[in-house]
Amino acid sequence: MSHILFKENGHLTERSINGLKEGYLNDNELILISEHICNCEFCAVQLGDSFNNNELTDVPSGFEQEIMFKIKNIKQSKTQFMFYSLRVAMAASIALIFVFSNGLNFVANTNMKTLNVNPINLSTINTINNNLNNFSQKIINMEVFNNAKRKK
Amino acid sequence: MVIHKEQFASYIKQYERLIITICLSFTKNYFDAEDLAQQTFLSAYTNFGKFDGVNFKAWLTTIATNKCKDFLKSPSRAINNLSHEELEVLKDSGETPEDLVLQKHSRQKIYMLCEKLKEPYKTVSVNYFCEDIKLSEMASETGQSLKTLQTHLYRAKKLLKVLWKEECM
Repeated sequence: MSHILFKENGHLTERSINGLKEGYLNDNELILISEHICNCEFCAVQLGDSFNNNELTDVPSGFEQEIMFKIKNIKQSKTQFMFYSLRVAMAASIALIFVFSNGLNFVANTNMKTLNVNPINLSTINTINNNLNNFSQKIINMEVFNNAKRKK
Repeated sequence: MVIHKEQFASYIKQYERLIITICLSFTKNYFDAEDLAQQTFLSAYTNFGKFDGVNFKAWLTTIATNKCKDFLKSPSRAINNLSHEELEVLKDSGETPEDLVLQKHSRQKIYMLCEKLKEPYKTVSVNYFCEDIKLSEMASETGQSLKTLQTHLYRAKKLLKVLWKEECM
């Protein structure tokens, strides 16, 4: 196959260029030819010059306009990406400035006003506790006294 | 190297027919070729800095061929080749391969395929491919937004590529 497609010097034969133009080459041959043209400027020129004006396919008139729209979109998305990167960089810079400057230390060392919270008044509960303790002590003493009296 | 949009637009005008024809020679599908030709010009615009300034036509041809190579190698594309026996049958019809190619790519064929689409894709594709009406003109005539028409055309092309494959290959 390759001896039909390529000359001895490695360039494409006229037959392969004609085959490409006339559409009777199979996919493997087309791939071989395309791989060669990608790396050979001489054959790229040969292919480009091989088409007469009457052989060229018609193109929709909006073709150029569509490409220009796409170019515009690419430019817009590039600009948007640039602005986004700029915003992120600015935010990161501000964060770093906060971290490494004295700003955060200043905030940390500021004397904060503490709230004065009055402790709960537990005197009533303490009184009840004392009364209960006294009462239970009296019961214990009475039991001890009764026990000693029984032994006698 | 930077290129102005106006200068690049003139390059498109000058070489659009050649590039689409080269793409068509490789893909054998008009709608794939149109798509690849657009990709070729977009690549050329974004990579214009890499152009050595000597032969723009050869440089564009190389980019187009590279796009076609990637297209032919893409695994998503089913490879349906005609066998030599099938080619013989085609030759017996009395038409040379060149005639067949010309016939295949005729506007009638494109019109026939566009007609098979449902609305709104049918109108957009017929206007764009057959009536040579630009999308901006369609937008001003119909009052539809340009973005909507671009979406319709994108979807129509997607369908047309498949239809072409089914009907013409």
